[in-house]
Amino acid sequence: MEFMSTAIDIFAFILLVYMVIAILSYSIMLFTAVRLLLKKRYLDKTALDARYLNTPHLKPVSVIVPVYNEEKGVLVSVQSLLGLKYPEFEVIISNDGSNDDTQKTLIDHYQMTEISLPIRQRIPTKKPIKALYQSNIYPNLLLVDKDNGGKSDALNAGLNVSNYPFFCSVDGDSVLEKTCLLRVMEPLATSDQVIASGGSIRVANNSDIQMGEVLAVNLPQKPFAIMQLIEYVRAFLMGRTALSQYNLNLILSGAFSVFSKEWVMKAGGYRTDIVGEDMELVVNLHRLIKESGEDRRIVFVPDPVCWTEVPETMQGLGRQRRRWHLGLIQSLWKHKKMTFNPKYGLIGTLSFPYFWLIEFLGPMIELGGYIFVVIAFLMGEVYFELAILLSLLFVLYNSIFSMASVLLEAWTLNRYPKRRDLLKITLYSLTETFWFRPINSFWRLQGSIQFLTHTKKWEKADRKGFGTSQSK
Amino acid sequence: MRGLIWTVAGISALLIIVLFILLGYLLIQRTIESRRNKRVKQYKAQFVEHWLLYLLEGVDPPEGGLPQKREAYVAIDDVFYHYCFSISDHLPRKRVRWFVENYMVDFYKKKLLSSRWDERLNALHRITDLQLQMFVDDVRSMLRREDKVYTEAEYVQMYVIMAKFDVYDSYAYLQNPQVSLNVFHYTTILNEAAPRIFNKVITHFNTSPLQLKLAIIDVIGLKKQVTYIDVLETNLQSDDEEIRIRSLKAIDQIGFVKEASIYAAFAQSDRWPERLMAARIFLHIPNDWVIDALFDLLRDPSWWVRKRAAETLSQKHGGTSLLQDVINQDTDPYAIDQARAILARQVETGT
Repeated sequence: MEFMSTAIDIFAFILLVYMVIAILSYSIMLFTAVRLLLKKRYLDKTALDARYLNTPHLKPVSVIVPVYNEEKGVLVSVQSLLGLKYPEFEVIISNDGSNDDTQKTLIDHYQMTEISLPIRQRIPTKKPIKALYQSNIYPNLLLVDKDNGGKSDALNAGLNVSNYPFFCSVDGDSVLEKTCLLRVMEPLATSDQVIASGGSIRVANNSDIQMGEVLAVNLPQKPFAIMQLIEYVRAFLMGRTALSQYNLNLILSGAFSVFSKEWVMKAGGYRTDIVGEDMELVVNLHRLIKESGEDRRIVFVPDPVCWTEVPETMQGLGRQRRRWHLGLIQSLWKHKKMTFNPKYGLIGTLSFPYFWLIEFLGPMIELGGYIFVVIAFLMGEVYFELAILLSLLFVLYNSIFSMASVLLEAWTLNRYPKRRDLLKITLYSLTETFWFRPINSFWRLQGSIQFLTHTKKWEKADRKGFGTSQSK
Repeated sequence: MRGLIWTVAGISALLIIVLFILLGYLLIQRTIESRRNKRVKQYKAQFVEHWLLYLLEGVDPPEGGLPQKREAYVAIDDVFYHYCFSISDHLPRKRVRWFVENYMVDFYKKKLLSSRWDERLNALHRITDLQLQMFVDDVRSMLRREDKVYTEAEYVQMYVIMAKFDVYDSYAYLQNPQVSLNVFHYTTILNEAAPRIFNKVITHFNTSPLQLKLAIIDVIGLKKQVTYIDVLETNLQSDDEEIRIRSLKAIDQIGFVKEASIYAAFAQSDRWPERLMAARIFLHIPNDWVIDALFDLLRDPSWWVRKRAAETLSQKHGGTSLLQDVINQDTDPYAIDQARAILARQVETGT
């Protein structure tokens, strides 16, 4: 009994220390993000866009879209890409052996014909390119046909075909705002130090999207989608904005980021043996930067927004979260030598420990905390006070930071302008502690178990496709 | 423990109250902003035709249309900006300047002196875009202020204004800027600089910092300023590889060479970007030796050089038969590959 009591005391202590570290980290990130975003609040971005469009600095970009069975949403995505405001770009759809009508839909819709082009195989791919098509309507639209080799393989094939010095990875189920590429490329165009730049991702479920354009932003109807909306706002606006300020960002979303092709080639392209190819590439680039001793940066820009459809069911979301967490651990583990290694600067001494503690261990500790609170309340007086303290810290740690992020978004970027919507998401954010966070921690814990048990099951999210009933 | 619980509970409650107050503020602010935007829209709907008539034909706007309230200033600023950005006519721009000078100086000055960085930068951009020369003295005063440090973006935009409006001391700011400027910044400034300032910068090319040198070369190429071809060709002798490559690129952009013979050496360079640029520039040289050099470049170890050499060959007189010869007679598989690809593309595109 005494042993049990000591074990509980130790666990409670670990939990409290974790909470204090996490709350402090989040507080620093929130204040950094507030300072940065409020500063630019009244900046006339439309005028800035027009100025950049007329400057000679913008380098041509290859937009690479890996697709696998995306027949429902691919046309909307491609249409949004073809409408981008950018001086010179090509769109390369890399069809990773879809077994639905993705390829036929694209060929028919954009009147594509097969072309012969010598392809420079700078990055080896698992599956070779079978054919290359070009649109007769849009000469800057190419389609790569290859056998299924995974998302990374499709991206690498697209890279081999690409003609320009920068490339932008975009998911096949996403819709980009017209000025997206322009704004995300701005740091790369204005500074030679920047080698990669990522934009924000927002939830598009239930929004009115037509002809590849977001006509009206509506809140999703399903609670799980609303919670993801809040989660995305918090992760992108608070976390990545702050980490990017100090070049500490280990993740740029694969759904929408631009990279210098030269650096990605040096890094060997996308790794095909790791689930989270986007994080892996960024970590690999950081490693290369430090090992080469060059002064380079990887940045995040909050303004450009890529709209994407998120899973609305528990099953779909669970699959996605297990996969994401597995990818995160694989990357951290693969580059574990960087942890606390001063050779890698702040990436090694700050970013890696932060990701190990908050992102990797966080779900386990949090879930343990939730179980502890429930048991403590059931046990009555013994740990009652500790349970109350932990519950309060959970509210502070989850709900209050989420609410603050939502309000920061409303104050600065204001992508959800309806007053009723703002009120709704604010109230939803306060509920995060009580249901979404524990479920999410559980899925992430499952991801950790998959890593430990070497389960390599490809779990793909269900897609409804834009322009279907849900988006009208 | 109880004390700690009460402290955390107190902090949490306080934070939630503060956040709800912020929520209330944002909701009220949205209502105010939405009303404000509505008034701007109403003003525009009522007077936009008058303003366009004023800009196009100089017809005076009606008395009621003259700005008195904030929404009128915002609406007129917006109309002027959008008009001036798409039209480069001299007369409407002159009318914008006249109107601003008589009615809107305080509106822009207030922004220029704002404590907010974003407001100041917006004003600097407007001064540049609407060519509001009357604010040059204000900008110069800002640059001379010793008690205030501006951001990099502001300094760059102030230098743009000084160079654009041909202010006598703008060159000094380029030589000794108050912030460290990179090639992008210098290019932004020089791209908008008045011809006299640009000439002066070129006169002092040799004593300029490297970043400025690179920007000068880039801008000569971007503006296709054939009069400075001598400067570029002289730079080809530079010890700095970056200067040589950028000069070659600028010469290619201009599409004209003066001394054809000096380019032959670049086809033999150890650096592939120089060979690539040589393959591009050979398009603008009509001499026969260029064809032989391009055949050599078609067998280059660099994929990009081979590709460019094949493209240049295809655009030369009799290019198709030259590439056909490569396919039939050459033994180099890379050269044959590129020649085939270019010919196939010509068939596909019907060129």
